[in-house]
Amino acid sequence: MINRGNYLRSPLTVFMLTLICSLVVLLATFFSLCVGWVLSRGLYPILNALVTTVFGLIGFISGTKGVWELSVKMSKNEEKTTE
Amino acid sequence: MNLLIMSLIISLISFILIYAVTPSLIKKFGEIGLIVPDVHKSDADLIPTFGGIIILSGYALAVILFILQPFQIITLDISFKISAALLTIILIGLLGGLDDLKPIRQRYKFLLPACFSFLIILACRNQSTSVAFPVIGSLGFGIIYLICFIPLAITTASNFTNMLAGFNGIEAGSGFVACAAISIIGFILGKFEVVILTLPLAAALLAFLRYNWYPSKIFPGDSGTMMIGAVIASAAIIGKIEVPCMIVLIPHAMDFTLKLLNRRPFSQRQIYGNTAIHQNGILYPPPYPALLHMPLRLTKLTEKQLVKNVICLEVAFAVIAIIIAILIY
Repeated sequence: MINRGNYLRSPLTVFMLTLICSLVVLLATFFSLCVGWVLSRGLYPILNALVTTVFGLIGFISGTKGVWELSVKMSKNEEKTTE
Repeated sequence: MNLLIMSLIISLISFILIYAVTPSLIKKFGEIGLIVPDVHKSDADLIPTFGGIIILSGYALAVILFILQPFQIITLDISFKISAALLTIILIGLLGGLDDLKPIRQRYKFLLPACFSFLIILACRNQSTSVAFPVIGSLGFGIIYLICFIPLAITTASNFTNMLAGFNGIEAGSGFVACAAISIIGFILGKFEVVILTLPLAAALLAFLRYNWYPSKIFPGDSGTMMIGAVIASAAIIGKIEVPCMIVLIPHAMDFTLKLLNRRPFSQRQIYGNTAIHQNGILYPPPYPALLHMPLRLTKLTEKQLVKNVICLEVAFAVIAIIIAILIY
């Protein structure tokens, strides 16, 4: 039987990890927004706003997916360690 | 200052009303069979649901009292905007209530809040259509703000708060933190229409949390969760504080995105079942992606610990939202 939770035992540690992951998502979104804004700066204002928003959304979605995959990988590593 | 005192008074009314009325309604809902199993307990007791209607009634009464007050401390335009927002919130709350009584399809839960937002579109048709971002500055969305941004904001926010739910105290707790943070932002920026919309709900949720906290005596149901999102989105649009409100809702948005990106969006719970409970109340997550499953995959947590974890995460984002609001406005 897999004895889960021996490696990252503290709920506080896990909270900090979740918080860091969420902050990474926030930063990824903001970075993508900035990239979108820089790339579309010369365009018509509405197009500029739309391209910036789409880039922001892409950043948010890929950031969220990325941190989920990271958490899956971490939990698998932990299972291997404690097996 | 008059506006602040007035919003504090209506919030107090909302708090007292919900705190006093909820115990008798818990009994009443139990008697008429509005009960659902508390799935994250080993004995799965039957708990009254539909608590959102109590929150909605107390909140709506408080805001209506403010609109009808005889002191004329707000302009007609702001009064119109608050009324439009309140009507939208009531409609969305009732849609959630309908879902509590007879489950409705997810697509209707997306479409109908967007339709209800036409009142807010009508009230905000003359206001600025630009959104202020940190560093980048203001981006003008033009007509797209009215015809796309507002309906999308109302429907996504209502569904965001509806998704991050299911554990004792999580909906009322995170909703309280979010509404309190937006009230603080409204107060700092001097946007009292935001305070009037969010502070009574924060007070209502705090009163409700007394009965919804672990072990819950009542659940808010979809009527409660959907209206929280509707209030946040309405405050964001009317007060023009879109970005701070988006930041407050990031934990909810992450949960929603993870569930959306799945092969069968929003139906994983029907396929994989609920979170399993092992000895000593430890929760084991089903294998589909969700924000709440992230901490559960990494350590052993009880329901109470998980809810505290999420509320702390919400507090962190609330603080970030307040800081960003101060920086960009």
